[in-house]
Amino acid sequence: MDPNPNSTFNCSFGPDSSPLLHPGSMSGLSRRDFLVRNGIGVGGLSLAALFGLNPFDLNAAAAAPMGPLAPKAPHFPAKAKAIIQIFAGGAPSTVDTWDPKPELVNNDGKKIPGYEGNALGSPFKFEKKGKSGVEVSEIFPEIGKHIDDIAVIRSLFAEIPDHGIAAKMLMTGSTQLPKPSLGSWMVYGLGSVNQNMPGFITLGGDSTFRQCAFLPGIYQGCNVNYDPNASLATILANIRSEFSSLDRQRRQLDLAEQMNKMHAAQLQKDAQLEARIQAFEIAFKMQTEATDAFDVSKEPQAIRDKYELSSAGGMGMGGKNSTGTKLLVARRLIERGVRVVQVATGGWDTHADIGNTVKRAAQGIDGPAGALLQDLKDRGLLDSTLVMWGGEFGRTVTAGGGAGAPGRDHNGKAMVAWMAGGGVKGGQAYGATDEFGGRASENKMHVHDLHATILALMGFDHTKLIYNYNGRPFRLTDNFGNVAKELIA
Amino acid sequence: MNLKRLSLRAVAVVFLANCSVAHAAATAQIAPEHREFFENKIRPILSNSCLECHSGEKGKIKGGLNLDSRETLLKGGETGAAFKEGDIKGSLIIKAITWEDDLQMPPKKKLTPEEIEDFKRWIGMGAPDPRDASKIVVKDKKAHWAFQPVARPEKPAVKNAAWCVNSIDNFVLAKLESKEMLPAPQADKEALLRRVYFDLIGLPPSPKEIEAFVRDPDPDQAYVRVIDKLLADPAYGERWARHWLDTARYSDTTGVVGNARFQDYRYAYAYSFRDWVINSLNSDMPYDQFIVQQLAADKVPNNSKENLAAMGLLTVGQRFQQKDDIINDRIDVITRGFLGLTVVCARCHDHKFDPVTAADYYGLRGVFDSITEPKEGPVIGGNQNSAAYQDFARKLADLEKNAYSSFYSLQREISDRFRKNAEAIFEIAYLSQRDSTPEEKKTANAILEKTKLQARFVDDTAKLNPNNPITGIFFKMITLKDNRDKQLADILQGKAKGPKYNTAVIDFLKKQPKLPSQVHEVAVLFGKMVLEYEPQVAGMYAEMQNASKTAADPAKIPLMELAAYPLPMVPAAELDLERLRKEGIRWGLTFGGQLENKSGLAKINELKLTSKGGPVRAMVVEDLPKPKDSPLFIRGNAPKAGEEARIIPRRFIEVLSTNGATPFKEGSGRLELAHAIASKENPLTARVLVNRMWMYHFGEGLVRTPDDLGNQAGVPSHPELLDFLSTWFTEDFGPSKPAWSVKALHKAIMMSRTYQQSSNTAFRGKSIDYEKTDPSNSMLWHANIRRLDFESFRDSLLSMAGTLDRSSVGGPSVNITEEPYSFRRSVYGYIDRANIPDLLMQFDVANPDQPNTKRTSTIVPQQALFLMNSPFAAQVVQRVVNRPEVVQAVAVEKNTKAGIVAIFRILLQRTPSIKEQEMALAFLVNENKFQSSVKAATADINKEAAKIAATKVKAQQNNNGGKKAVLNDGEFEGANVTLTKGTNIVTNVLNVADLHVGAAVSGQGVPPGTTIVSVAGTTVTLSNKATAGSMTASLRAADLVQRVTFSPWEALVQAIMFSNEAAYVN
Repeated sequence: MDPNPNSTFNCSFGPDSSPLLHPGSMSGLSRRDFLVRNGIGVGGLSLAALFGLNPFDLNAAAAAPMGPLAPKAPHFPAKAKAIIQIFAGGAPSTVDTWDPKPELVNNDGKKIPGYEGNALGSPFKFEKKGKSGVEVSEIFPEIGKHIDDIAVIRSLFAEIPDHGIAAKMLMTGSTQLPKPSLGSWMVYGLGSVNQNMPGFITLGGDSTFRQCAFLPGIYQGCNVNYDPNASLATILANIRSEFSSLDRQRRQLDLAEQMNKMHAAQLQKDAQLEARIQAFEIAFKMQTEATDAFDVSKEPQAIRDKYELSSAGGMGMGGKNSTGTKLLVARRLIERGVRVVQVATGGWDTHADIGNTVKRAAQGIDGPAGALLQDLKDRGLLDSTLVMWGGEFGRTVTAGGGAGAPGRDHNGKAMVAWMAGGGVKGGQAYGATDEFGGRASENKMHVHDLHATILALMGFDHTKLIYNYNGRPFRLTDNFGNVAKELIA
Repeated sequence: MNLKRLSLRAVAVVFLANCSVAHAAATAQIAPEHREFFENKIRPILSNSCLECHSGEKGKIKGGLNLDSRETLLKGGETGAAFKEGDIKGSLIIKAITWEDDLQMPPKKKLTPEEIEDFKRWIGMGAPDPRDASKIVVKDKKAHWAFQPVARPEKPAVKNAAWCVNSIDNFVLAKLESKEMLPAPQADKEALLRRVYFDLIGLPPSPKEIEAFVRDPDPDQAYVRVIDKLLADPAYGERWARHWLDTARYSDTTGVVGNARFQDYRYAYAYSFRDWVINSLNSDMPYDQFIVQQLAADKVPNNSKENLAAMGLLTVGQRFQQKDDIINDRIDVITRGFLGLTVVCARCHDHKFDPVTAADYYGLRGVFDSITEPKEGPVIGGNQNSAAYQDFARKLADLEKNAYSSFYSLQREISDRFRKNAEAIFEIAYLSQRDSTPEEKKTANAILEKTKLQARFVDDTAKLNPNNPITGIFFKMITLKDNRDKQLADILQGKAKGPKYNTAVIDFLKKQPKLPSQVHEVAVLFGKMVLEYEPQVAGMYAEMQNASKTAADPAKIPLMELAAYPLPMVPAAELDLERLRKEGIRWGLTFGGQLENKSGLAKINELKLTSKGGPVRAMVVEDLPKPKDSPLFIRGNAPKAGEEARIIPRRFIEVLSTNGATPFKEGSGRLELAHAIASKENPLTARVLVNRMWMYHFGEGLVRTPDDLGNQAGVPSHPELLDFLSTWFTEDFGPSKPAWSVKALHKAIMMSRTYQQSSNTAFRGKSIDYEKTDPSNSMLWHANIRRLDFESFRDSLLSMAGTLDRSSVGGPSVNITEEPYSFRRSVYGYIDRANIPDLLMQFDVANPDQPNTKRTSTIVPQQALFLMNSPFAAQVVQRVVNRPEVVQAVAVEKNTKAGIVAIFRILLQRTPSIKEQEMALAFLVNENKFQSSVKAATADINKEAAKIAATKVKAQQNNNGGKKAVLNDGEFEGANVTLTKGTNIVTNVLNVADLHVGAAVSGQGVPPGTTIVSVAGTTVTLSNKATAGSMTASLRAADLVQRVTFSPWEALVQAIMFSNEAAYVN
């Protein structure tokens, strides 16, 4: 589950064979014009489906400026405009982190009804925090400070206790054939507010976490090979020229544009040609803007310390905690209008010795995530940024087998996650498990429901965010999903 | 205005619907009070909560359940009839609405208790229903044009008959004339030649070829000659194979990642399929044969062995974890690929829009569930007598030998370690089970501490379960409670039913006066047994590894099992690479991982992947000896054991069958399936192919969804033309036009006046608003401008640079995305479906997850960044300026103009206008000025830059994608490890853009904290304080890349390369 460091700036461009709007029915603008203006590339019906619009309503279409990532309005006013998704790879224990179970502790080492093996009570203490008094494990002192902004979900489940498949479910809403990832759906639906940056950026993680599958390739997450020791040039492929100065490139683009005007003069108006000219202009600006976004050396020392970055290292990105660096980069990206940033973390596959392994995993995220929440709040960004944390499934509440200090095995029946900011009603623990914590029981929330709720926070009716492919409409939530309204402020 | 009209119509429809209901109610035989009850209580529930998903009239029948009438309720859905007459509790619909079991309807909101009561009452009455089933209209899916037989239409008459070169033009012109539109004039010669070249071979014409074509006194003949020449060029197959490979979702890897990665995810011989496609196209293999070969080359009588590679269509897909997903992928590629039909929708239910039933799908599933792949495909190429072949064979033998010996040495290492600690491991493991008490756990931990064993080793080696041949009886000694002694005695005397235990174990136990039952004592006994056999076990290793024996000596097997324990025993006679791979998976993560490293399996695949003279193998499939029909899976889920299921005979899709879809008889049925597809009678096969070819020549198909001609596809822009060409294509008109000839179809299309139109639309008069009448050019009143696809664009850049390597056709895939680049054509680029190179993604290369005939044409800044900043683009730019015709022109100051002209001809295949020449000249002048004004100021900086450039080197990946060539095993485990000379270090290992003393180095296999301690020439020395190691990497001269600022001429070339014209075909 560790971030895959093998690729840089992975923007993949998947194909699409959506049924096209029948061309004869449109007037005024060419088909390409229409599609490019709306940032869809191809697949006109999808656009209509997306907005629940009359596909022939060109007023709405014309309102959107040029470019496949043009910002778009969702179905209803959104609470959140951006997402930072922290993936806790390995499947975090529930009863040691966010679901205190005194009954389990009381029965430690004993048989408990309905479970195989012996109860393994959490070695960690929980304490009520904040005004809301939601209980927080002692392993999260920093995150705990923000509990009044956090909604803990205790009743999540997916019934898939296999890392790879469950992670696919969490990221794409499907365990089967390749489907678009959450971030891809988001950028497809909302576009990006900064045309000089990709709309969906992942900092590590499996390639399935960012795949756009059948959505047009522009919606695939750009994976940035973020390595604290690497230089910017190697993180962002082709981001600067080693052969020309910026001044010269400007003059080259000017010459190309003169030629482009002459080229287009005698052709049927084609928005693609114009879009390509725009792409060069954006690329030109990206050279400085993207570089800047990833350069955390520009942050003051106080901020760097809070995110647990040390002062050493190449571009100032080195640090004892790469998660901290990534979360700081995430904030810098969100500030610049990137829609979705996904940060892959790990260390939660704690089959043995929970006293140490769980604690270690928690220490890796507690400081940086706490700093992120505070930082977003200080900048007035938390209200519009949904921060979420969670892994692919949960763990058993009884001790796993094996020699040495006990750990917990895989459990798909209960998992935890938390969400903060972005219109989330904080200071609550949503749903509940049974008295020992191994099964979601109250307000059970499937991963599909989580997706439906995230989409609702972003302003979408999850049943209407649709893309037509291969002769049928597809959704992130497939044919499922209910919005947990209690989670929304 | 339009909107208003639409909504009025909608109201009218609703009104009519009400009328018909009223009418039906009047005629149905139903008691008035029942009708009242239905209308007041039941109909509102149905329409508010049910019919949205369960109504044929509304077009959605989820789970196959249609609630439109009493009849359809009785018929029920996938899970059975919705109600049983007179049985309220037993009726499925009542179970569903009361949310009793898993089936909970309506899924989002339970009905109110009152509503549920009403429904129960209604079922109790016998579900009286005034709705008339016969009045409910369900659309006939078969009526769609694409399912009708193809007939040859008459070519239409036109006013301007002189315009028409062949029949294609009649169909196109007739349609234009009906709207009083004119076609565009013929494209100018330079534009036409460029279009023909890119269309047929994916490469631009050279300046010489343009010259010859433009000056030819007989333009018509010149045009025909060019088409014939290009169709005969091997580059044609390379170009058009790429189109089919998009549909065939070609990739060089399985796409398997994560834990399953132990299985090498690279296909060593996927390229044999790619090469087969290239060769088949070049030899103009008739399209019907092209289909049959790919499905059943092994069944074609007197077939050549080269054709076996065709079956790669079935085998180069993604290897999903579930077998059924692989079968599904194969059905998908065949049905969308050849038939333009989305048959896989019917995996879970009858197709929603097309006349394809779930039974059709499972008829095909049986076919693909009845095939298998051999361990190794047949050899179809390579010269056994060549030195390269023998070199390959020798290397392979060495690697295999090493793999087998590593297997045994690792196995011995593990089992030795186990036997030394057998007693303790047994006891710890027994006491550390899931349900062990805290006291037992405590005891186990104490032993663990004392023995200093690693917990992980204990967990991985202790195979404690009652059925294990070695430990099983010991386990039972502790766990058996009732009748223990008798049961154990039965086992020892071989009287007990159940698992077969190791006879050496039994012999040992028989000699024991007493079989203890306390954990500790049993563990001691187990340890004693291991010690007792120790002298004999040692000899078994040699026995096991004796490769000269064809089978293990049965008498020695029990001892061999003991020797191998806790790993499975594999005598040399049974060990091959496939088995080794399987063992790796069985050995679990820890040991499997070690085995993967030590056996060097990846290196074996690597050798096959990169070998230049080794054998070429076909990736074939074979029929299972006993083919099996498939059960129909409800909602795509396989029936559980004991569940009743409908068995579907292996057969073709009914709606496309001329023989009533009779069951296949021969083996799996692949050949019969192939013939059913490759048939003139099949209404889809020829139409799909013709439409695709049209799309590649015109930018859009006659039907715009090339992989779906079903009901969702709509009507073709020129239906008669599509049918005309489809019949013409399959017919035999003698040697100049054989049946199913793809090349003949190319020629027919390209000879048409329609194809030769200009993209220049300035001709259009004012009387008709062309752009309004036909904004998308579906009527073909001009040529579309088309963006070059990635392959054509890259190949053309290389061709302009003069570096395109066209020395051979076919061969293993090469690296085209990272320095040092291969200069072969892009079709030979390595495609890892699990990690598609950035460059390919940025340029809309088809995603090999699924068949995708039509590429998207997205425009993103990364494409621009590639052209602006990538070393690849820079290389092209530099080489263009170094071409002799440019060098000559540039050498003399006065010849600037000639230089500009030469560059335009190379890059855009045309002569620049005077205006363009002026623009280019102005650019050059400006750049020169810029240079001189900063020259003095930058002299010092340049000196410094030169110094840096000298040490600025670029280390590169040298293989074909896939596994990166990383540092060798074991590096950094000891001190002062030196890399062997010539070892390549991947970019990830050395972030070489900043390769200087003190720089940190990171990457796979390199421990954190590694830094560069010296750079001297091409030798880089790394060091790591923590592990106290250091190493030197020698970088090859070929890996060195110098970055030199562009000259003004180079800047000019690059600017022209940015232009839209360079990326589009007019």
